[in-house]
Amino acid sequence: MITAFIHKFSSPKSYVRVTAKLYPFFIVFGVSLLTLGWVWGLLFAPQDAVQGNSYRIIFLHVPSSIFAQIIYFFMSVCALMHLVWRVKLAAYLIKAAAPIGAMITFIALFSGSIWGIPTWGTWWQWDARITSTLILFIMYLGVLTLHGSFSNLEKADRLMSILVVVGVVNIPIIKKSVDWWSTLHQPASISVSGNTSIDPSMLYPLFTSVIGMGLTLISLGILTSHLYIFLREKNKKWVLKYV
Amino acid sequence: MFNLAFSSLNDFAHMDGHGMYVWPVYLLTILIIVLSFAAVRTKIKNLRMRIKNASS
Amino acid sequence: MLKLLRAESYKLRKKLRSWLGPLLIMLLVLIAFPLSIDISQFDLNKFYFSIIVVSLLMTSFVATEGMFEEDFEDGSLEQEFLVEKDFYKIVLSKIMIYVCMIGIPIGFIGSAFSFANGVDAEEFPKVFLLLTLSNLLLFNLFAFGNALSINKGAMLGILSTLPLTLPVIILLGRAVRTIQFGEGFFEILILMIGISLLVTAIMPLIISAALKTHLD
Repeated sequence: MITAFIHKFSSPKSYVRVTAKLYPFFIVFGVSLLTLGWVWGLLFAPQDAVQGNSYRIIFLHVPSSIFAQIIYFFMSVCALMHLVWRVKLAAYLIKAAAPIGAMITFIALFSGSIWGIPTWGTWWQWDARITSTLILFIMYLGVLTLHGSFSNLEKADRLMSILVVVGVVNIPIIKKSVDWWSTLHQPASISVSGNTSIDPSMLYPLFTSVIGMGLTLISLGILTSHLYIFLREKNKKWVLKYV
Repeated sequence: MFNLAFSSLNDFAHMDGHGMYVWPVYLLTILIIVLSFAAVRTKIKNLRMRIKNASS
Repeated sequence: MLKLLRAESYKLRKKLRSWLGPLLIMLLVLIAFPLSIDISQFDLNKFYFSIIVVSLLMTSFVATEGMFEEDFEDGSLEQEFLVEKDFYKIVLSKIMIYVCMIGIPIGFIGSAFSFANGVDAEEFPKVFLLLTLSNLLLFNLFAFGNALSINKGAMLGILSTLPLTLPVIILLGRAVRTIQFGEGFFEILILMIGISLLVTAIMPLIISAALKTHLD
Protein backbone atom coordinates (compact mmCIF):
# COMPACT_ATOMS: atom_id res chain seq x y z
CA MET A 1 0.00 0.00 0.00
CA ILE A 2 2.85 2.36 0.89
CA THR A 3 4.63 1.53 -2.37
CA ALA A 4 1.45 2.25 -4.36
CA PHE A 5 1.02 5.57 -2.54
CA ILE A 6 4.63 6.56 -3.17
CA HIS A 7 4.46 5.70 -6.85
CA LYS A 8 1.14 7.51 -7.31
CA PHE A 9 2.26 10.80 -5.80
CA SER A 10 5.92 10.75 -6.74
CA SER A 11 5.61 11.49 -10.42
CA PRO A 12 7.34 14.75 -11.34
CA LYS A 13 4.21 15.82 -13.22
CA SER A 14 1.87 15.64 -10.22
CA TYR A 15 4.55 17.14 -7.98
CA VAL A 16 4.92 20.19 -10.26
CA ARG A 17 1.15 20.59 -10.54
CA VAL A 18 0.55 20.46 -6.77
CA THR A 19 3.53 22.60 -5.75
CA ALA A 20 2.83 25.27 -8.36
CA LYS A 21 -0.53 25.83 -6.63
CA LEU A 22 1.06 25.90 -3.15
CA TYR A 23 3.97 28.15 -4.09
CA PRO A 24 2.14 31.53 -3.72
CA PHE A 25 1.02 30.64 -0.17
CA PHE A 26 4.49 29.58 0.89
CA ILE A 27 6.22 32.65 -0.53
CA VAL A 28 3.67 35.16 0.81
CA PHE A 29 3.46 33.64 4.30
CA GLY A 30 7.17 32.92 4.40
CA VAL A 31 8.33 36.41 3.52
CA SER A 32 5.64 38.00 5.74
CA LEU A 33 6.50 35.94 8.80
CA LEU A 34 10.23 36.36 8.24
CA THR A 35 9.82 40.12 7.92
CA LEU A 36 7.60 40.19 11.00
CA GLY A 37 10.08 38.11 13.00
CA TRP A 38 13.06 40.21 12.00
CA VAL A 39 11.35 43.57 12.49
CA TRP A 40 10.04 42.39 15.88
CA GLY A 41 13.45 41.12 16.88
CA LEU A 42 15.42 44.10 15.62
CA LEU A 43 13.09 46.87 16.68
CA PHE A 44 10.99 45.67 19.62
CA ALA A 45 12.85 42.90 21.43
CA PRO A 46 14.72 44.28 24.45
CA GLN A 47 18.49 44.47 24.65
CA ASP A 48 20.25 41.45 26.12
CA ALA A 49 21.72 42.02 29.59
CA VAL A 50 25.07 40.42 28.71
CA GLN A 51 25.50 40.67 24.93
CA GLY A 52 23.80 44.02 24.32
CA ASN A 53 22.36 44.47 20.84
CA SER A 54 24.68 42.04 19.05
CA TYR A 55 22.43 39.18 20.20
CA ARG A 56 19.88 40.32 17.58
CA ILE A 57 21.84 38.22 15.06
CA ILE A 58 20.13 35.28 16.80
CA PHE A 59 16.95 35.91 14.77
CA LEU A 60 18.92 35.06 11.65
CA HIS A 61 21.61 32.71 12.92
CA VAL A 62 19.38 30.23 14.75
CA PRO A 63 16.85 29.73 11.91
CA SER A 64 19.67 29.27 9.39
CA SER A 65 21.47 26.75 11.64
CA ILE A 66 18.26 24.79 12.19
CA PHE A 67 17.46 24.62 8.48
CA ALA A 68 21.04 23.80 7.52
CA GLN A 69 20.51 20.51 9.33
CA ILE A 70 16.84 19.99 8.44
CA ILE A 71 17.58 20.34 4.71
CA TYR A 72 20.27 17.65 4.94
CA PHE A 73 17.88 15.41 6.86
CA PHE A 74 15.27 15.99 4.13
CA MET A 75 17.89 15.10 1.51
CA SER A 76 18.69 11.87 3.35
CA VAL A 77 14.99 10.85 3.44
CA CYS A 78 14.78 11.55 -0.31
CA ALA A 79 18.00 9.59 -0.82
CA LEU A 80 16.53 6.58 0.97
CA MET A 81 13.38 6.82 -1.17
CA HIS A 82 15.50 6.96 -4.31
CA LEU A 83 17.69 4.02 -3.30
CA VAL A 84 14.92 1.77 -1.96
CA TRP A 85 11.91 2.58 -4.15
CA ARG A 86 13.77 4.05 -7.17
CA VAL A 87 11.71 7.24 -7.01
CA LYS A 88 13.42 9.59 -9.46
CA LEU A 89 11.55 12.64 -8.11
CA ALA A 90 13.43 12.05 -4.83
CA ALA A 91 16.75 12.41 -6.66
CA TYR A 92 15.54 15.61 -8.32
CA LEU A 93 14.59 16.98 -4.89
CA ILE A 94 18.04 16.18 -3.48
CA LYS A 95 19.68 18.02 -6.37
CA ALA A 96 17.33 20.98 -5.85
CA ALA A 97 17.78 21.07 -2.05
CA ALA A 98 21.58 20.78 -1.97
CA PRO A 99 22.42 24.32 -3.20
CA ILE A 100 19.80 25.78 -0.83
CA GLY A 101 21.32 23.80 2.03
CA ALA A 102 24.80 25.01 1.11
CA MET A 103 23.57 28.61 0.95
CA ILE A 104 21.83 28.50 4.34
CA THR A 105 24.80 26.73 5.98
CA PHE A 106 27.07 29.48 4.66
CA ILE A 107 24.69 32.08 6.14
CA ALA A 108 24.76 30.20 9.48
CA LEU A 109 28.58 30.09 9.49
CA PHE A 110 28.93 33.72 8.42
CA SER A 111 26.37 35.07 10.91
CA GLY A 112 27.84 32.95 13.69
CA SER A 113 31.35 34.22 12.94
CA ILE A 114 30.25 37.86 12.95
CA TRP A 115 28.26 37.32 16.17
CA GLY A 116 31.34 35.77 17.79
CA ILE A 117 33.44 38.93 17.40
CA PRO A 118 31.61 41.20 19.87
CA THR A 119 30.41 38.32 22.07
CA TRP A 120 33.47 36.10 22.52
CA GLY A 121 36.19 38.27 20.98
CA THR A 122 36.85 35.71 18.25
CA TRP A 123 35.29 35.14 14.84
CA TRP A 124 36.30 31.49 14.79
CA GLN A 125 36.81 28.79 17.39
CA TRP A 126 37.58 25.16 16.69
CA ASP A 127 34.84 23.85 18.91
CA ALA A 128 32.61 20.92 18.04
CA ARG A 129 29.46 22.75 16.92
CA ILE A 130 31.13 25.35 14.70
CA THR A 131 33.45 22.72 13.20
CA SER A 132 30.57 20.32 12.59
CA THR A 133 28.62 23.06 10.78
CA LEU A 134 31.69 23.73 8.62
CA ILE A 135 31.87 19.99 7.93
CA LEU A 136 28.17 20.09 6.95
CA PHE A 137 28.92 22.91 4.49
CA ILE A 138 31.72 20.87 2.93
CA MET A 139 29.35 17.89 2.70
CA TYR A 140 26.85 19.95 0.72
CA LEU A 141 29.66 21.00 -1.64
CA GLY A 142 30.77 17.36 -1.90
CA VAL A 143 27.26 16.24 -2.87
CA LEU A 144 26.99 18.93 -5.55
CA THR A 145 30.49 18.22 -6.91
CA LEU A 146 29.89 14.48 -7.01
CA HIS A 147 26.66 14.85 -8.95
CA GLY A 148 28.21 17.34 -11.36
CA SER A 149 31.13 15.01 -12.21
CA PHE A 150 29.10 12.37 -14.01
CA SER A 151 27.58 12.81 -17.45
CA ASN A 152 25.31 9.80 -16.85
CA LEU A 153 22.69 11.51 -14.65
CA GLU A 154 21.00 8.31 -13.42
CA LYS A 155 24.35 7.03 -12.15
CA ALA A 156 25.06 10.44 -10.63
CA ASP A 157 21.68 10.36 -8.83
CA ARG A 158 22.40 6.96 -7.26
CA LEU A 159 25.94 7.85 -6.16
CA MET A 160 24.73 11.16 -4.74
CA SER A 161 21.98 9.35 -2.80
CA ILE A 162 24.49 6.87 -1.37
CA LEU A 163 26.76 9.73 -0.26
CA VAL A 164 23.86 11.64 1.34
CA VAL A 165 22.68 8.58 3.29
CA VAL A 166 26.20 7.90 4.59
CA GLY A 167 26.75 11.58 5.43
CA VAL A 168 23.60 11.87 7.54
CA VAL A 169 25.55 10.37 10.44
CA ASN A 170 27.11 13.84 10.83
CA ILE A 171 23.76 15.41 11.80
CA PRO A 172 23.42 13.77 15.25
CA ILE A 173 27.08 14.55 15.86
CA ILE A 174 26.29 18.25 15.30
CA LYS A 175 23.15 17.99 17.45
CA LYS A 176 24.86 16.33 20.38
CA SER A 177 28.22 18.06 20.09
CA VAL A 178 27.31 20.75 22.60
CA ASP A 179 26.49 18.06 25.16
CA TRP A 180 29.36 15.67 24.41
CA TRP A 181 32.22 18.16 24.40
CA SER A 182 32.58 21.22 26.66
CA THR A 183 33.17 24.04 24.25
CA LEU A 184 32.98 27.77 23.73
CA HIS A 185 29.56 27.65 21.98
CA GLN A 186 26.66 28.42 24.26
CA PRO A 187 24.52 25.44 25.19
CA ALA A 188 21.13 25.10 23.53
CA SER A 189 18.83 27.76 24.98
CA ILE A 190 15.73 26.18 23.54
CA SER A 191 14.78 22.58 24.11
CA VAL A 192 11.86 20.60 22.71
CA SER A 193 11.02 19.32 26.18
CA GLY A 194 11.96 21.04 29.37
CA ASN A 195 12.93 24.57 30.34
CA THR A 196 13.92 27.21 27.88
CA SER A 197 16.39 29.79 29.12
CA ILE A 198 15.45 32.56 26.66
CA ASP A 199 12.98 35.31 27.61
CA PRO A 200 9.53 35.24 25.85
CA SER A 201 10.08 38.74 24.44
CA MET A 202 12.99 37.26 22.47
CA LEU A 203 11.56 33.77 22.05
CA TYR A 204 8.42 34.76 20.13
CA PRO A 205 10.22 36.76 17.39
CA LEU A 206 12.71 33.91 17.19
CA PHE A 207 9.96 31.33 16.58
CA THR A 208 8.35 33.65 14.04
CA SER A 209 11.70 33.99 12.23
CA VAL A 210 12.20 30.23 12.25
CA ILE A 211 8.77 29.55 10.72
CA GLY A 212 9.19 32.43 8.23
CA MET A 213 12.62 31.20 7.18
CA GLY A 214 11.28 27.68 6.77
CA LEU A 215 8.39 28.74 4.53
CA THR A 216 10.69 31.01 2.49
CA LEU A 217 13.17 28.18 1.97
CA ILE A 218 10.36 25.80 1.01
CA SER A 219 9.20 28.27 -1.65
CA LEU A 220 12.77 28.59 -2.94
CA GLY A 221 12.99 24.80 -2.93
CA ILE A 222 9.78 24.55 -4.96
CA LEU A 223 11.20 26.94 -7.58
CA THR A 224 14.55 25.16 -7.74
CA SER A 225 12.93 21.74 -7.97
CA HIS A 226 10.68 22.94 -10.80
CA LEU A 227 13.75 24.21 -12.65
CA TYR A 228 15.57 20.92 -12.22
CA ILE A 229 12.54 18.81 -13.15
CA PHE A 230 12.01 20.83 -16.34
CA LEU A 231 15.71 20.41 -17.17
CA ARG A 232 15.66 16.64 -16.67
CA GLU A 233 12.24 15.98 -18.18
CA LYS A 234 12.30 18.57 -20.96
CA ASN A 235 11.66 15.99 -23.67
CA LYS A 236 8.49 14.69 -22.03
CA LYS A 237 5.08 15.62 -23.42
CA TRP A 238 3.73 16.87 -20.10
CA VAL A 239 6.55 19.44 -19.85
CA LEU A 240 5.82 20.75 -23.33
CA LYS A 241 2.13 21.00 -22.47
CA TYR A 242 2.81 22.58 -19.05
CA VAL A 243 5.21 25.16 -20.43
CA MET B 1 6.16 43.26 24.48
CA PHE B 2 5.83 45.85 21.70
CA ASN B 3 7.77 48.78 23.15
CA LEU B 4 10.38 50.18 20.81
CA ALA B 5 13.85 49.16 21.97
CA PHE B 6 15.45 52.27 20.46
CA SER B 7 14.66 55.95 20.95
CA SER B 8 15.69 57.17 17.50
CA LEU B 9 16.58 55.97 14.01
CA ASN B 10 20.20 56.84 14.66
CA ASP B 11 20.15 54.69 17.79
CA PHE B 12 18.59 51.87 15.82
CA ALA B 13 21.28 52.06 13.13
CA HIS B 14 24.11 52.35 15.65
CA MET B 15 22.81 49.75 18.21
CA ASP B 16 25.30 50.89 20.88
CA GLY B 17 28.23 50.09 18.62
CA HIS B 18 26.93 46.66 17.60
CA GLY B 19 25.24 47.92 14.45
CA MET B 20 28.38 47.25 12.40
CA TYR B 21 28.03 43.57 13.25
CA VAL B 22 24.25 43.19 13.01
CA TRP B 23 23.47 45.13 9.82
CA PRO B 24 26.02 43.56 7.42
CA VAL B 25 24.78 40.10 8.42
CA TYR B 26 21.12 40.92 7.78
CA LEU B 27 21.83 42.83 4.59
CA LEU B 28 24.02 40.08 3.15
CA THR B 29 21.43 37.44 4.00
CA ILE B 30 18.62 39.39 2.37
CA LEU B 31 20.82 39.95 -0.69
CA ILE B 32 21.67 36.24 -0.96
CA ILE B 33 18.02 35.16 -0.63
CA VAL B 34 16.74 37.76 -3.12
CA LEU B 35 19.50 36.92 -5.64
CA SER B 36 18.73 33.19 -5.29
CA PHE B 37 15.06 33.72 -6.06
CA ALA B 38 15.90 36.04 -8.96
CA ALA B 39 18.44 33.62 -10.43
CA VAL B 40 16.10 30.63 -10.29
CA ARG B 41 13.14 32.54 -11.72
CA THR B 42 15.32 33.84 -14.60
CA LYS B 43 16.58 30.34 -15.33
CA ILE B 44 13.03 28.95 -15.36
CA LYS B 45 11.91 31.73 -17.71
CA ASN B 46 14.84 31.08 -20.08
CA LEU B 47 14.27 27.33 -19.97
CA ARG B 48 10.55 27.77 -20.74
CA MET B 49 11.44 29.92 -23.76
CA ARG B 50 13.97 27.35 -24.96
CA ILE B 51 11.47 24.51 -24.61
CA LYS B 52 8.76 26.53 -26.39
CA ASN B 53 11.14 27.41 -29.25
CA ALA B 54 12.33 23.83 -29.55
CA SER B 55 8.77 22.46 -29.73
CA SER B 56 7.42 25.04 -32.21
CA MET C 1 37.41 -15.45 1.11
CA LEU C 2 40.96 -16.75 1.71
CA LYS C 3 41.50 -16.89 -2.04
CA LEU C 4 40.40 -13.26 -2.33
CA LEU C 5 42.72 -12.20 0.49
CA ARG C 6 45.66 -13.95 -1.16
CA ALA C 7 44.84 -12.36 -4.52
CA GLU C 8 44.54 -8.87 -3.01
CA SER C 9 47.77 -9.20 -1.03
CA TYR C 10 49.58 -10.39 -4.18
CA LYS C 11 48.21 -7.40 -6.15
CA LEU C 12 49.24 -4.93 -3.46
CA ARG C 13 52.69 -6.45 -3.03
CA LYS C 14 53.31 -5.99 -6.73
CA LYS C 15 52.34 -2.30 -6.59
CA LEU C 16 55.32 -1.04 -4.61
CA ARG C 17 54.28 2.59 -4.97
CA SER C 18 50.91 1.88 -3.37
CA TRP C 19 52.15 0.37 -0.12
CA LEU C 20 55.63 1.81 0.31
CA GLY C 21 54.67 5.35 -0.68
CA PRO C 22 52.34 6.02 2.27
CA LEU C 23 54.87 4.59 4.75
CA LEU C 24 57.59 6.84 3.41
CA ILE C 25 55.29 9.87 3.49
CA MET C 26 54.46 9.12 7.13
CA LEU C 27 58.17 8.87 7.95
CA LEU C 28 58.97 12.06 6.06
CA VAL C 29 56.30 14.12 7.82
CA LEU C 30 57.21 12.83 11.29
CA ILE C 31 60.89 13.54 10.72
CA ALA C 32 60.36 16.89 9.00
CA PHE C 33 58.07 18.36 11.64
CA PRO C 34 60.51 18.66 14.57
CA LEU C 35 63.24 19.85 12.21
CA SER C 36 61.08 22.61 10.80
CA ILE C 37 60.00 24.08 14.10
CA ASP C 38 62.16 25.89 16.62
CA ILE C 39 60.81 24.77 19.99
CA SER C 40 62.15 22.92 22.98
CA GLN C 41 61.81 19.16 23.43
CA PHE C 42 59.44 19.76 26.34
CA ASP C 43 57.02 21.77 24.18
CA LEU C 44 57.31 19.26 21.35
CA ASN C 45 55.88 16.58 23.65
CA LYS C 46 52.71 18.61 24.06
CA PHE C 47 51.58 18.59 20.46
CA TYR C 48 53.54 15.94 18.66
CA PHE C 49 50.48 13.69 18.67
CA SER C 50 48.52 16.11 16.52
CA ILE C 51 51.22 15.77 13.84
CA ILE C 52 50.93 11.99 14.03
CA VAL C 53 47.16 12.24 13.68
CA VAL C 54 47.32 14.64 10.69
CA SER C 55 49.98 12.56 8.92
CA LEU C 56 47.82 9.48 9.58
CA LEU C 57 44.96 11.19 7.76
CA MET C 58 47.19 12.16 4.83
CA THR C 59 48.80 8.75 4.49
CA SER C 60 45.44 6.95 4.68
CA PHE C 61 44.23 9.12 1.82
CA VAL C 62 47.35 8.49 -0.25
CA ALA C 63 47.28 4.76 0.52
CA THR C 64 43.70 4.30 -0.70
CA GLU C 65 44.06 6.54 -3.76
CA GLY C 66 42.95 4.68 -6.87
CA MET C 67 42.08 1.61 -4.82
CA PHE C 68 39.46 0.44 -7.28
CA GLU C 69 40.49 2.45 -10.32
CA GLU C 70 42.91 -0.02 -11.87
CA ASP C 71 40.55 -2.95 -11.44
CA PHE C 72 37.69 -0.87 -12.88
CA GLU C 73 39.69 0.30 -15.90
CA ASP C 74 41.03 -3.15 -16.88
CA GLY C 75 37.68 -4.88 -16.34
CA SER C 76 38.82 -7.20 -13.54
CA LEU C 77 36.31 -5.63 -11.14
CA GLU C 78 33.50 -6.66 -13.46
CA GLN C 79 35.02 -10.16 -13.81
CA GLU C 80 35.23 -10.56 -10.05
CA PHE C 81 31.63 -9.42 -9.69
CA LEU C 82 30.50 -12.04 -12.21
CA VAL C 83 32.36 -14.76 -10.28
CA GLU C 84 31.44 -13.68 -6.74
CA LYS C 85 27.99 -12.24 -7.56
CA ASP C 86 28.64 -9.85 -4.70
CA PHE C 87 31.17 -7.12 -4.11
CA TYR C 88 31.04 -7.35 -0.33
CA LYS C 89 33.74 -10.02 0.06
CA ILE C 90 35.98 -8.40 -2.56
CA VAL C 91 35.78 -4.98 -0.88
CA LEU C 92 36.21 -6.40 2.61
CA SER C 93 39.27 -8.43 1.61
CA LYS C 94 40.78 -5.40 -0.16
CA ILE C 95 40.32 -3.18 2.89
CA MET C 96 41.67 -5.89 5.24
CA ILE C 97 44.80 -6.35 3.13
CA TYR C 98 45.37 -2.60 2.96
CA VAL C 99 45.01 -2.34 6.74
CA CYS C 100 47.39 -5.27 7.32
CA MET C 101 50.04 -4.21 4.82
CA ILE C 102 49.82 -0.43 5.19
CA GLY C 103 47.68 0.47 8.20
CA ILE C 104 49.50 -1.63 10.79
CA PRO C 105 53.00 -0.49 9.69
CA ILE C 106 51.76 3.14 9.76
CA GLY C 107 50.44 2.56 13.28
CA PHE C 108 53.80 1.12 14.27
CA ILE C 109 55.73 4.06 12.80
CA GLY C 110 53.43 6.55 14.49
CA SER C 111 53.71 4.86 17.89
CA ALA C 112 57.50 4.57 17.53
CA PHE C 113 57.76 8.30 16.85
CA SER C 114 55.51 9.21 19.75
CA PHE C 115 57.65 7.03 21.96
CA ALA C 116 60.71 8.84 20.63
CA ASN C 117 59.13 12.13 21.72
CA GLY C 118 58.64 11.55 25.38
CA VAL C 119 55.75 9.11 25.61
CA ASP C 120 56.51 6.26 28.06
CA ALA C 121 57.48 2.87 26.68
CA GLU C 122 54.55 1.29 28.51
CA GLU C 123 52.15 3.56 26.54
CA PHE C 124 53.47 2.18 23.23
CA PRO C 125 50.83 -0.62 22.92
CA LYS C 126 48.03 1.87 23.69
CA VAL C 127 49.19 4.32 21.02
CA PHE C 128 49.71 1.48 18.52
CA LEU C 129 46.17 0.16 19.15
CA LEU C 130 44.61 3.59 18.74
CA LEU C 131 46.47 4.36 15.53
CA THR C 132 45.68 0.96 14.02
CA LEU C 133 41.97 1.27 14.85
CA SER C 134 41.93 4.79 13.38
CA ASN C 135 43.58 3.46 10.25
CA LEU C 136 40.89 0.81 9.96
CA LEU C 137 38.21 3.51 10.16
CA LEU C 138 39.98 5.90 7.80
CA PHE C 139 40.70 3.21 5.20
CA ASN C 140 37.03 2.26 5.16
CA LEU C 141 35.96 5.88 4.71
CA PHE C 142 38.53 6.71 2.03
CA ALA C 143 37.73 3.45 0.22
CA PHE C 144 34.13 4.69 0.12
CA GLY C 145 35.31 7.97 -1.41
CA ASN C 146 37.29 6.07 -3.99
CA ALA C 147 34.33 3.88 -4.85
CA LEU C 148 32.18 6.97 -5.44
CA SER C 149 34.67 8.76 -7.64
CA ILE C 150 36.38 5.64 -9.08
CA ASN C 151 38.04 7.12 -12.17
CA LYS C 152 37.08 10.78 -11.72
CA GLY C 153 40.17 11.65 -9.71
CA ALA C 154 41.09 11.37 -6.05
CA MET C 155 40.06 14.93 -5.21
CA LEU C 156 36.40 14.18 -5.81
CA GLY C 157 36.62 11.23 -3.44
CA ILE C 158 38.31 13.25 -0.74
CA LEU C 159 35.83 16.13 -1.05
CA SER C 160 33.02 13.62 -0.60
CA THR C 161 34.50 11.78 2.37
CA LEU C 162 36.74 14.23 4.21
CA PRO C 163 33.78 15.48 6.26
CA LEU C 164 33.17 11.91 7.39
CA THR C 165 36.78 11.41 8.46
CA LEU C 166 36.99 14.52 10.63
CA PRO C 167 34.84 13.04 13.44
CA VAL C 168 37.30 10.09 13.46
CA ILE C 169 40.16 12.56 13.93
CA ILE C 170 38.28 14.31 16.75
CA LEU C 171 37.73 10.94 18.43
CA LEU C 172 41.38 9.98 18.01
CA GLY C 173 42.47 13.32 19.46
CA ARG C 174 40.24 12.70 22.45
CA ALA C 175 41.64 9.17 22.82
CA VAL C 176 45.22 10.46 22.71
CA ARG C 177 44.40 12.92 25.51
CA THR C 178 43.36 9.99 27.73
CA ILE C 179 46.87 8.55 27.30
CA GLN C 180 48.49 11.91 28.02
CA PHE C 181 46.39 12.47 31.16
CA GLY C 182 46.34 8.81 32.19
CA GLU C 183 42.60 8.21 32.62
CA GLY C 184 39.60 7.09 30.59
CA PHE C 185 41.64 5.17 28.02
CA PHE C 186 39.79 1.88 28.40
CA GLU C 187 36.38 3.48 27.79
CA ILE C 188 37.57 5.30 24.66
CA LEU C 189 39.24 2.11 23.42
CA ILE C 190 36.00 0.14 23.78
CA LEU C 191 34.15 2.91 21.92
CA MET C 192 36.71 2.88 19.10
CA ILE C 193 36.64 -0.91 18.83
CA GLY C 194 32.84 -0.84 18.64
CA ILE C 195 32.78 1.89 15.99
CA SER C 196 35.53 0.15 13.98
CA LEU C 197 33.67 -3.18 13.98
CA LEU C 198 30.43 -1.49 12.96
CA VAL C 199 32.04 0.52 10.18
CA THR C 200 34.04 -2.49 8.92
CA ALA C 201 30.84 -4.55 8.76
CA ILE C 202 28.66 -1.92 7.09
CA MET C 203 31.02 0.10 4.89
CA PRO C 204 31.87 -2.74 2.44
CA LEU C 205 28.10 -3.08 1.79
CA ILE C 206 27.84 0.62 0.97
CA ILE C 207 31.01 0.50 -1.14
CA SER C 208 29.59 -2.50 -3.03
CA ALA C 209 26.44 -0.53 -3.83
CA ALA C 210 28.57 2.33 -5.18
CA LEU C 211 30.71 -0.04 -7.29
CA LYS C 212 27.62 -1.80 -8.67
CA THR C 213 26.28 1.60 -9.76
CA HIS C 214 29.43 2.18 -11.80
CA LEU C 215 29.15 -1.20 -13.48
CA ASP C 216 25.43 -0.92 -14.34
